[in-house]
This record gives sequence, C-alpha cells and structure tokens, in this order.
Amino acid sequence: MTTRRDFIRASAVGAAASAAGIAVPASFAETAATAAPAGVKWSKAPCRFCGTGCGVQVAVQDNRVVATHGDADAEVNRGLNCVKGYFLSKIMYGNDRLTTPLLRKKDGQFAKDGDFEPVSWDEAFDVMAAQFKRVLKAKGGTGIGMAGSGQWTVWEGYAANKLMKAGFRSNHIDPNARHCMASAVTGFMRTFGMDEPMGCYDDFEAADAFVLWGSNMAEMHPILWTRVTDRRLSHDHVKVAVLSTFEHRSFDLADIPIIFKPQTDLAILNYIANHIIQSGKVNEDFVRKHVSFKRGNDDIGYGLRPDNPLELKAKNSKDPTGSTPIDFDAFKAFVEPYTLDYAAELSGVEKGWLKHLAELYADPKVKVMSLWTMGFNQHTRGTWANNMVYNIHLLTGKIATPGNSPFSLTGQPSACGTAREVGTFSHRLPADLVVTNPEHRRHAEEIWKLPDGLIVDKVGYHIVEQNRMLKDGKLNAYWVMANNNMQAAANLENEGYPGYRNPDNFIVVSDPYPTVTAQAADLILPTAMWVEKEGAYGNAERRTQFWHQLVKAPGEARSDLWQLMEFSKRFTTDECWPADLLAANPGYKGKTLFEVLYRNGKVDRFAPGEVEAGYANDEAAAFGFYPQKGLFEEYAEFGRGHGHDLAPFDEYHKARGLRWPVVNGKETRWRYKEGSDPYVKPGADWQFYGNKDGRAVIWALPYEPPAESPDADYDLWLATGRVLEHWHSGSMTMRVPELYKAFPSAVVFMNPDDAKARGLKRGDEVKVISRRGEMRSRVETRGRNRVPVGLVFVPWFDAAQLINKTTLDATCPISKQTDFKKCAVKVVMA
Amino acid sequence: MDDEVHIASFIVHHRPDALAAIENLVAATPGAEIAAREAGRAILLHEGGGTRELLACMDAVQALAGVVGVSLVYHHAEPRSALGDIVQPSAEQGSRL
Repeated sequence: MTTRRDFIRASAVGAAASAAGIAVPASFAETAATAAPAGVKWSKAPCRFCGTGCGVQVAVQDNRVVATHGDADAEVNRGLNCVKGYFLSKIMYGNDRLTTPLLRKKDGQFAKDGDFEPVSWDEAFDVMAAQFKRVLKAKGGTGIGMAGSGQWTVWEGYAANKLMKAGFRSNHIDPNARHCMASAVTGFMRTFGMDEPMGCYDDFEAADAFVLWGSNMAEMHPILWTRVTDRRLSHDHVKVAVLSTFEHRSFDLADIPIIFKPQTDLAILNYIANHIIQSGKVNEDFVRKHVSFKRGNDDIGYGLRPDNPLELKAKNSKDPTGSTPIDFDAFKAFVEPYTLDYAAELSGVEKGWLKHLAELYADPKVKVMSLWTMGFNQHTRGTWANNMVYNIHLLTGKIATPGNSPFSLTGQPSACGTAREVGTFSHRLPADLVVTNPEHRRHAEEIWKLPDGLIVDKVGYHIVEQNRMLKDGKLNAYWVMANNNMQAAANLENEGYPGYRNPDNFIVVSDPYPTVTAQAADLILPTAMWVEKEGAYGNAERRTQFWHQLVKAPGEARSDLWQLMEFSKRFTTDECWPADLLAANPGYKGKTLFEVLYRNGKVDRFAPGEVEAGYANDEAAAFGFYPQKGLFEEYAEFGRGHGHDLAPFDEYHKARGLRWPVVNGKETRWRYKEGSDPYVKPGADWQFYGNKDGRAVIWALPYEPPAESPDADYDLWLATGRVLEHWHSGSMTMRVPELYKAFPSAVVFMNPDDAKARGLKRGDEVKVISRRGEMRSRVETRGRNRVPVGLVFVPWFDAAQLINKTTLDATCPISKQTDFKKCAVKVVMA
Repeated sequence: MDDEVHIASFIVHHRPDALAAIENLVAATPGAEIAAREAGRAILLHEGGGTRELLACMDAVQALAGVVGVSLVYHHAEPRSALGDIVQPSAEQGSRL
C-alpha cells in the first residue's frame, strides 16, 4: 500500500537522483512518476530566463500554468532547475500584469503630459501610426527607431528586423543584447570572421581545467555550474580558476582564486600569452597552419559622446577597428613587456597564482575551458578581452576539440538565437550579413522578395546611441519591445529619461508589466509572454529550441509578433519608400507593409491547420496563416548552405533543441574541426572558414586604463551585476513572491574596513553618488559577496534603487557595449 | 482549515569534507533528511509547511563551508488531509511531450 505522502516523497527523490545521476535508493524506488494531479497536460519549453537554455516541463490545467519542473530529457540541464527556473510558473501571474493598452491622455486626446488611460488596440495603433507617419513625413525612416531584445522569439526578432530595415527603411534597430554580449560578437567576428562559440556544453565533461574570467557562474549560470562542479568533484586532477574583481560564490570551488584590480585582466591575458611563448609551449604546427597575426589600433577612446574630452584626446577614436598585419615575431615582441612582475604589479595578484593560471593554458596535456560573460563583455576594452582570450587558446591549439573551449556564455534566452543569428543589431542582417555590404543587402532583398536598393547602406544607431539621439531630437518615434532599457542603460538621468520625455518624441513600450521603461513611455502595449505564444529561442551553445503556445494571454495582451504584423497594416509603401524606388518597381506601389513583408508568398505559405494538433496559435488564427513557420522557413534560407544551417521547422517541435549547423539532419558540436564539422574541407584538420584564408587571427592589443577610476572626490570603484534570485531588471522575478522575499531589495556590498572608515555599519542607509547622479541603498558587509577595500558591488535588479543613475555610459568603442563594471563613486551616510 | 504540506528534493554539490556539516545541519532541521549520497553529491528531501521553510533550509545548506551548489529539483504542495490517501501511480501521469 502506497500513500500519497510515500508516493510524493519517492517521486521527489527519484527526480533528484536521476538529475544527479545517482542510483535511486531502494527505499524510494517503488514509485518515481510525476505526482501532478490528473487532468494536467505536460509540454516541453525552454526556460524564459538566461542563455543557458534549460529545458522544462510545463503543466497546464484550465488555461493556467500550474507547475514546471526540470526536463529530465533535456541534455542541457538533465532535470535540474535553478531557483528562478523553479518558480517559472509564476512569472506570468503578477498582480499588476498589463491587460489593455494604456495611452497618456488629457481631455480625451493623446497628450505627452497626460496620464495613462486604458484604450482599445484600435485607438492605440491609430495614435501610434499617426505619430510614426508624422515623423516619416518630416524625416523619413531615419527618425524611427526600435529597441529590441534577446528575449524576443526568433520570429519576433525576424519580423521586427524586416519591419524596420525594409518596411520603414531604418537601421536604427538594436537589441538590449548590445548591453550583454556585443563585445563577444565583435570578438568572434574579428578573430574568426563568424559569430558564436565553436564548442558546446559537452566540453564541461571533457575539460581538465575551467577558467572563469569575471563570470560568477554559481549565481548567474547555476545549472552549468553544477556541470563544472560535478566534473571538479569527481575528478581529482581537474582544476578551477576563478578571476574577479571581488570574491563571490563561485570562489567556493576555486583551486586558483584570483582577485584583480579592475581592467587589469588585459595585462593578465597578455602575460599568459608571453608565458606560453617564453616557456616554449607554443603549438607551432597549429599556429603555422591555422593562425594569422594582426596588430589592432590602440588608444581608441571610450565610446562616449564624440565631444567628450576623452574622445577628443584619443588617437584612434574615429578608427577603433583598424589593424595592420604582423607576424609571430612581432607578436612575441609585443607581449614581451607583460612579464610576471609587470602583470602582478598592475593587477595586484600574487605571482604564484598568476603562474599557476598561465601554466594551465601552457601545459599541452591540460584541456582548458575558458568561460566568461559580463566581466569581459561589459568592458571598455571588451572586444579586446575577447580577442585576447582567443589568443591564448590559439597559441596552444586548444580550441574546437572536446574540452578545449573558449566559451562565451550569454545572459538572455535568445541573445544568440534572435539578437545575433537573426541580426537585429543596427549593423546586421541575418546569418552574419551586414548592411554595409552591397552584396549582403542584395541577398537579403532577394530572399525578402523586395526591390533592389531598398535597404539603407549605413549602420543605424546602437542602443546607447538611441538614447542620445532621442535626447538630441534626432530620433522621434521609438518602439521598445521585450526590454527594460530605462532601468538597464547607464547614466539614466542624463542620457535615458530626457529622451523619453522630449516633447518631440513619441515613445511606445510593449511589455507584460509596468516597468520603469513603460512608465516613462507615451503608449504602453500589453504583451503576451513565454508560453502564451509559440516561440523559439537559441541558447549559448547554438541550440535552437521551440515551444508551443500552451495558454492564452490575459485580457487584451498580444504577442510582439501580432503587434508588429498588425501595426504594419497601417502603412503603405508610398508612405515609407522613396518615389523613385517605387517608380522603378511599380508592382510594390500602393501595397501595405503587411502585404510586402508578410503576405509575400513565403511567410504566408503555411495554413493554420499545420499547427500541431492539441495546441492553440493565436497569431495563426488572427492572420489566417501560420506566421511562425513561414517566418522561420524564410529566415532559414539565409543560413542553409552557409554554415548556419537550421533543420526544418517541425523537427524542432520534436527535439530538445538542435545545435546549428544542422547538416543532413545532424547537429554540430564542435565547429572548425575536421570530423565534427561538415564544413571543414577534408585534410584541413582545422579550418576557420569564417575568414577567407581559413585562419583565425591572433591580435596584438595592449593594456589600456579605464575611462574613469577612483580619485580623491569619488574614491570607490562601482561594479554592478546580478544575484541568483533575480533575472536582470527583476521585472519578472520580483513578481514571484518566493524570489522577492529571498532578495527583496538591492544593497551596497562593501568591505567592512571601508564601512568603518566612513562611519558606516551593516544596514545603514547610504547614498551612492557619482558625477552623474545618486541613489539610496543600504550597506551590506557580509553575505555572499566579499568585496575588497576600494570597491563596492550593487545589483541592478531593483526598480526602487536605480543604480544606473550613477553609472557611466562609456562603451567598448568597437562593440558599443557599456562598461557596467567600472566607474567611480563615493558612499556617504544618507 | 486544512494546511498544506510541501515536499521537495534538492541536490547538494559539496566538497567531500563538508559531508559531516551537512549531516549535522540536516539532523538539526525538522523535516529534512539525506535521501541519497555519492561522492560530492547528496540528495536532500524536505517536508515542511511552505516555501519559506524550504528556501530557509536551502539557504542554510548553501551557507555551509564546502557546499558549492544547491539545486531544487522537485517541489510539490498539497493539503495535509490528502496525504494519507492510497494512490494508484499509473493513473497519476499526465500526457507528456
């Protein structure tokens, strides 16, 4: 006889044992099925949060998600979930979920200084279209912009890219992913000529050493961290090195713990390259056959406004990407000054640890996996840091084989799948094509069945520049989707808020919740989220994952896809395209953007009946065709046969994701290596085919100081970041009671000596003040983060404590990604 | 009023020398037990009155020296009165993709 208690306890243990790969103890082995009540339908979906891409099983009952648990069949997480993923079922059910469009009005009319009032979709889109047409008439597409997201589904990003770059002829579309992994992208492009990691998560079980460059995986990528942990604890020879500017939870596993002074990671990287060369550990055969060398322009500025003194002073602020070819000897001479002594002096790290670290890379017997996210990417030399870590893997040939893996982690669920692969950046088109290349533009126009010369040839405004251009009145109609950029972007009081409230501008924000960004807008559109629509995400290891619509969105909330396509019906080509282009292509005259972009014989070629039986699809019902499938298949044309091959649409609803390129039905785990990548020519061994000569580039790049450092007036480094319980700006996780209670408010993590020196104690209310603004918080001298003297760490999830009032909007001049890890502040009693 | 019972399991990754501390903590925590263990890993089963208690237990384990990670795997809540019912496991499963 089994009682429900026995049954549930056995199920709990069984699930954990199978996730951990431990045999289920006999006493619990009788039952190990799910204990969900009858009448529940379980379906697969990827998690809504980070770029790890865990698979979850979602239980739906009566149009409501009632439970989620880790998917035991998902290769990524094998049944595990982090605490955020565990409470996933609750993110859609916050009390203040938006269910109707809201427009600022006065006396029944739109008014920039009015208060939000509920309106119908018709009224919302009428006012919005009138505003967009006002701007189109005055300036053309260049007055229109869009801030998108690595949280868009693949087809939402693709539909938005078409609407902006082809429909409105504006390249001013850029994702919040710019803040997250733009430096990773430019790093990949400069070294390999092709975006995204060559390896995959299978490297976790093959590596002998893991090096975390500024990444706190224990909190930010906890499921991948369990794979590192398993490997380390079950194999004595495995070593873990953790580098950061402060001590955090990942240090619990560190064999080589390294706290370095901000920005000096660049010097450590060059020291390792120098050590490899000086100790005779260069893999000469690999370097001779597969590598070329370049020296990059130095003194490239800090991506601030062009009239900033730092930009005027910098020698190469107008040409940050320039380079000259060099050879191995020149590279050797370039890194020679980066001795152990010099690296130790600059970084403040003990020589013994630096040498241990360098030896991991130098020793030909040690397979190394390097891992990084925001520490490298949010860096005024972020592109360089990415290039420089590839340098040390390339010098030793430790790349693209199991366990030898420089691996860029991502923070958003589809930073790779949507922002990067679909090309929603202001300079990109799908599959690594760019708007500045005439052949690429023509190729996109052909696939889109649009006239030659339609796509604009200039790079649009990136997301940091968009805020500046809104403030300056150059960008006047602006649509924000699936991001919370007012809270997320740096220097918000000077460069964020003024642009949104500029009377010349009309700002639209689509979101499920009234975020800080939504509240700064003129029109708020309620958005369907996650399993309220059919979706596709691409994770950090090139894995494309699909899910079905499982529930209906509340009230009038509609998916971003519906919003984009429905809005496009309100514009004709005559309103958006130049007369001469239409005169030369009269077939497009008088058509709506909806007709030319989405009713083009491709996007609309699958009938609603093709949606898998048993699942709803609100967009197919609304438009009379299956837009997700049509958009995906049109998009896939860009990559098939070009190294970005995607499988047929329906395959993804069956599989737990597939890693591209998918060739002849087979996914690719290690790119650029013969035997595992079908694109490598037989006999080549390795081939970095993103570059025409098949070689990866080793870059000679120096250490350069940060844009702002502590001084007598502002005497502390400020680093911002995240905590385990909250995802990014907290707009979802702060609405889950359990997660809110676990970490309800941001705090200032401070060294006890720094607190004492300022007459502060734990829990005191303080002001964090920079040259740009200030915010109130409380001092924390204990807990999970132990910061060194001279540095404070403040998480940015808390909408009640906007730390980005103080941060500096300096970016990597190449990637345009903001450095959120380094600026100068002071902390005083409030 | 019928109160709810929450039953959950989580995996603890730890350095081998942390096991004694984990055992001591579990012995001192009502409703917690170690259901299984293997080198560097332990499965904890927790039964309690709500998510707050559960998260407090997870936090306490995470805070032990030598504990590297705590991952919640399974969590189920239902009225205490239903827990004594006899079940037919085969009828419990929903359809799964």
